[in-house]
Amino acid sequence: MRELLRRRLEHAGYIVIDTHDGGQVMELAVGLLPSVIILDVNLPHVSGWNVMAQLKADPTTEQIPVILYTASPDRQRAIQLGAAGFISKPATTDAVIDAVRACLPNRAAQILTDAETNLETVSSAEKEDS
Amino acid sequence: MSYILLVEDNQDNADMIIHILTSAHYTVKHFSRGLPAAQEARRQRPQLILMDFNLPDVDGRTLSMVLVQQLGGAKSPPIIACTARVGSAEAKLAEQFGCSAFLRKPFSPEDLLTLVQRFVQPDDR
Repeated sequence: MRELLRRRLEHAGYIVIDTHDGGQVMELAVGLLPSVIILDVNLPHVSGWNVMAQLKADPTTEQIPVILYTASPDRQRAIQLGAAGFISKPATTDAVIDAVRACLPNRAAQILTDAETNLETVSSAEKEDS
Repeated sequence: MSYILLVEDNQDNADMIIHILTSAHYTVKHFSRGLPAAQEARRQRPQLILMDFNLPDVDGRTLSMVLVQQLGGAKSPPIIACTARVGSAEAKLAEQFGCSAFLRKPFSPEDLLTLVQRFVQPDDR
């Protein structure tokens, strides 16, 4: 699913940096300042909830919209932590792309060949085996 | 401060590049990892970026695309991709990832300086 989602997002014109290591999300977010983060809650090594809290506690990353894409039913907790979107698995890749677009209302994605101008960066952290 | 941002994880290669460029009166800031380098590029815009594609923390190709986007698209500082990978496809790929030029390792000091001088003059310091 992760690879399919990555390909679909890239096809939709987004630059995608993905990781299955929850411990790397903060480092990637601070280093790359993505436009959107798609975050699974059930990550190896560290809870996605903790990652979400770290992202919102850091002034460098607090403004980055985070879409929780997860089998967890705890939508209320996601909202309380400041999630910009919540998608329950299983969901279609179209639903995820729609959520990404909803987070970037003023910036239409461009195809990959337009990478010099308007591409958005999307970070995706999801379980490798999901 | 005007400077060239060097992103290279091999210290020997980095030392050589820094020596060549500083001898030609360029100022160089070196990072062995891509993510801190990206932070520095946003904090203080470089005149030119020399980017190794094989970095330990993030793919150099993707990082190049991100930096081109974040540093102004067509107005971003030029990026020279440095890689030991061979083949004309790699040069084309570097261009597709937003790089302005491609430097294949190993290269001579003359190769490096000729290419760098296409984009930045030492007098620009």
